[in-house]
Amino acid sequence: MKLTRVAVVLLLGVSLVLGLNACSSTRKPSADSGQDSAVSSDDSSAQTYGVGGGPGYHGEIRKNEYGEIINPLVAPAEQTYYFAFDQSTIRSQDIQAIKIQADYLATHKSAKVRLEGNADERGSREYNIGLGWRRDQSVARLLEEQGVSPQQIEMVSYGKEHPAVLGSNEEAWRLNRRVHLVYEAY
Amino acid sequence: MWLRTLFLLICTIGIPWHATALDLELTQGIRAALPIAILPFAGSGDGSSEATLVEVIRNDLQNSGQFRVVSAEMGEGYDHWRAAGVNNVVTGAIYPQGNHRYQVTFTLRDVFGGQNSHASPVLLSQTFHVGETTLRGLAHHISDLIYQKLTGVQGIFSTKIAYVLVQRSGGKTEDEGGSTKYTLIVADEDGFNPRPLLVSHQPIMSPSWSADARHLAYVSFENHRAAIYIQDLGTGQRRLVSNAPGINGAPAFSPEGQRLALVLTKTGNPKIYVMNLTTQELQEITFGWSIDTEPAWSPDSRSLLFTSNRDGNPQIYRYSFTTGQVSRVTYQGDYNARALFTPDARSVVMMHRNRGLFGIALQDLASSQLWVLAQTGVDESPSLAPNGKMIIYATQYGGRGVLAQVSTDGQIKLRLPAQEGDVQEPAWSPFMNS
Repeated sequence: MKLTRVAVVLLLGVSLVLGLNACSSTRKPSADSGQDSAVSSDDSSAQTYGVGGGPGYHGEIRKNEYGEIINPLVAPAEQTYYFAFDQSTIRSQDIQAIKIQADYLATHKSAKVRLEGNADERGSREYNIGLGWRRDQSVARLLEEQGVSPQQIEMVSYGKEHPAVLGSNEEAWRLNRRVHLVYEAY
Repeated sequence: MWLRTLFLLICTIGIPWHATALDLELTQGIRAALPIAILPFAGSGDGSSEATLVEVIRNDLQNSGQFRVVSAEMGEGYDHWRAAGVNNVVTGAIYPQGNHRYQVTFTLRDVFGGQNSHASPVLLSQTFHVGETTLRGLAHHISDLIYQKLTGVQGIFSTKIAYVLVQRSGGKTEDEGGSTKYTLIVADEDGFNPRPLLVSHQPIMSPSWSADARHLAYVSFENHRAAIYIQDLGTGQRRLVSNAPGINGAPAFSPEGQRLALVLTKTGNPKIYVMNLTTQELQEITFGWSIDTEPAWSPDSRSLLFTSNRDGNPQIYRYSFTTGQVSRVTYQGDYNARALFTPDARSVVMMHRNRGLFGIALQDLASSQLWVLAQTGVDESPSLAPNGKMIIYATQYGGRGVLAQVSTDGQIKLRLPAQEGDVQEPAWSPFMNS
């Protein structure tokens, strides 16, 4: 139920994006890079593509057993990276997905992404803006190390103002500590 | 830009609003509350304006926590009230003068000061001429006069509060397919007359009053970018003051009104800056790798409190404009944030966490002694009444974000349940110069 709803929203969101790019369907899940985690690699290997849509990934949004969005290992595709409590360190299982987006961005200089940093609901609102910002910076640093220009990266921190899920429990907090990577231009 | 402003203004007009969005509920008053009787006002109208006046005055005084409003009727006499232990009695009258205008008189008496049973010394007696729409405002003004006469402290019944109302359709987030509406609202201090200033589908944060109570600065995330605006409360016009790449956060007007403290990420790290509002010139105040945020001015404008994680966990620090030095203010608790000075500059009020529970605390600056005034576990965003007696803050009640108040001595507690949505980030206005 919930999954379907999220899928519809994602499809709607992606289909709003204009422009066309041939590279989107040629990039395959990379087989040569080291897979850090069974969660991100095995679950993400299958992709589906929309028929006649614009650029970007049009596959169904999928989640793992923890309710986390599984990042499609294709580019350009929206991404969600999760973080541990009070941390801005990128999890090892997300590195491959970030590098795939970085490769695309490095070879498409007119492409742009927006990083939306988020925190869980605990603590003061403006301090949480700072925490979300730190998470943005971690993702941006990795993208830039892979050759992405800083001009291609826009960063906004929503702190705890934009929760993915509501609730005051460990699960909600875990799913809300995240950076959402969104394409603004392909 | 102009179109956008116009659109936002139009948005704010067509929305139906209840007469009240928040209701004050006294949950704990002081035991030594002053007993006072407010008699029904005499009048020659249909009775509704009399009832409104008396009800507003009664609610104001009762909800201050410092008064016990005793029910009283005309003709009971001073002997009766003395026997009932009532200290003071308010009488009044309201007469329609045509054209929706009224003459209102009120008298405050000291029940125990009189020499005989028929007369008591008059402490206050005034006459006003007002229009129908300002009757509530006049009632608050009368409450202020009574409060000041009997407590010696300026009343806050004519002040306002700004807050952010968050309404999620179907109780779902955007990621779950819902849509969220954020509304920046200014209401009377008792929750009446809520007026929307800005409606957006992106977050609105950190409303901050100018010292003359005529402008609000706030953060808005329109178009997925953070920006700070200053909005004129009279006209609804707003101007963009900061939309630098990255964070534009935590705006705070200086007490003299010429400067705005804010948070920017020009160096990559969230740092405190001060903007000259006339020249737009920026001065960086704090430096280094840490997250520095939530600047709050001292009443004399000579220092700023702010939150920083420079020593690990978020704690409160103080920057002195005189010396350019930063000193640490808080040591108790593993999380202190969103601090502000009390009007006498002797204490600091802040969000405080111990044993995993967020509460509201007050710390005396001279002794460093700290008192936890409220601690439900999720208390945040404290803001002080301009007379320094009450703190309004955001908390949760019945699964919803609500506002609550606690007195700075911890004795009086109030809740302001909202009729809909989640209410957050209250900002108490300065005194209004009417």
